[in-house]
Amino acid sequence: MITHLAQIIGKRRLYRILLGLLSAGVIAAAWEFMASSRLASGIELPSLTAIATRGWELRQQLFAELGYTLERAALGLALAIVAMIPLGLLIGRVRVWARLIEPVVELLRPLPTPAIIPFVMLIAGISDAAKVAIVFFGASFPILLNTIESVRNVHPMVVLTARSLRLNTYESFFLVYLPHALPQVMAGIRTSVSMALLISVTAEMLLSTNGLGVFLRRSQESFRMADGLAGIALLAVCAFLINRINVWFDKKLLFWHSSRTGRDNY
Amino acid sequence: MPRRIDWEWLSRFAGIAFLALAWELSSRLNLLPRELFPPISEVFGALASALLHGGLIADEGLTLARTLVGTLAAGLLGVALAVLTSTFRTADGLLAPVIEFLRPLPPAAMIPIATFFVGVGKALFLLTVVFAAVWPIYVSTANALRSTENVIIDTGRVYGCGRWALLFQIRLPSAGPEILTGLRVGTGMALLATLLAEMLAGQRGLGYRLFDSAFSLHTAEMFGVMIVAGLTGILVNIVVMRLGAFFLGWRILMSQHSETTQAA
Repeated sequence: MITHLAQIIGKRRLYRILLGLLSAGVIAAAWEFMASSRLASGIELPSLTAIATRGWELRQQLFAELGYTLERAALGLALAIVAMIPLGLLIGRVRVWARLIEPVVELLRPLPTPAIIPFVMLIAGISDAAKVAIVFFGASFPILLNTIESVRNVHPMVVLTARSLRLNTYESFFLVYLPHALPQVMAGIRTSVSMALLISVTAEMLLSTNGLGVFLRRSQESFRMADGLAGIALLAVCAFLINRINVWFDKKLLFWHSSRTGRDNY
Repeated sequence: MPRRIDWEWLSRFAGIAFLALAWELSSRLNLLPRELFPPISEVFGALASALLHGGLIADEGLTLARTLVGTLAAGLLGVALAVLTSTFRTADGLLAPVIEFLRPLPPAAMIPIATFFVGVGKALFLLTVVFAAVWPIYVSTANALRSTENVIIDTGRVYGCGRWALLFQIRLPSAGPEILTGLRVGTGMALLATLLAEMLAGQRGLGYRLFDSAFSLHTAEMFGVMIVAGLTGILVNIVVMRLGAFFLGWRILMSQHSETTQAA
């Protein structure tokens, strides 16, 4: 049967899958051993079955909390995309704006996202708006910086061609700069997508009302470790899926671009 | 003859100066709530007094040390993992699923779980910071190691390099710039995680101080600490870049050399 499988999916791939299963199995066995023998220095490590049971019992709550987290992450990300791509185009192509805004951007950029949380808290309290604003701040910079850089790197020949064809400002923005910049803008958005989920969870932990971050923190504070680990597992699966969708979407959306087709379009 | 005013140079500061002035005035004229937006002059006053006799320097030193130590540990771990997975196919098969599962997890989510295991202490900070910083370093190093130019590897083989010589003398050095990029992203994540852990579980450090000053409504000090946090971000970046220039200087020299030979 193994040889049959190997013929279908390829020897090397089968080997990898088997190795993956093996490592998962070893880790699971080690975990169960530690849980049953309480090796982990007096800490009660819940067994995998206990975690799975708790996860199943709490499934409605877990998914509801995950929903809140994702909703705020998506909202903050969407705002960042809508605001930062035009701003990036502006800074990248119009010198006056670059001179005025870029120093301010450079001033804010090194601020680690958690550093703005107390400030946002003072203004917006622990509302949804506060958390969305924090996600917005964190997700903005990758998109903005990538957009600025990529529109600046548009080939001069393309710019001159657009000018010879007498494209007006809007036409050249939408027909020349934006399509040209899209791969790098997408790379920025990809970074921002994973940042958004990360920051959303973070913001919840500090400005708690609801969401998976709060759930994790509560289960730690009340020593319900199985609950916490079930939450972590759900979060990991969700983050993994988002990552995959991200990569797939990027491939589908940019199939036409020269950087993907390998053909030079100039 | 008087020197001409360099408008280009001045205009760089125009945006910032305008913002600062607008902030100062609108706060002084009570257009903005003054307890939330203290005038910027007061912010610098509070910053100075916190630095001089508020112990801010000690907090900053602690945060900086946690960030740099964490980045260093994450760098060693990340590069070691990348060497392992890109050299041995079996190691890659074993580790890849674990890494794919752990990598996208937010470091903040790890804090409660890590607290279960190690309590609140040095180990918690180190664990959180390393967890946050290791993935960018691992990913860029592994990618670079997998895509070493075949010509260089073949040249090494011709000169009789074995597996380890190839790794240490050819593949790792040629991955240098990508490792540096990973480290730069990694330090950013490390600083983020340090502040976060300090906010959630710390009694000292910049992150704790930020929350403390915000909760006690010392907004001027809070803005001051925010400025320090931003400067810390710049500082750790400079440290990594300097280290990179020190270790990768030969590469920059080489690329300059090749440019000049191409021009000739």
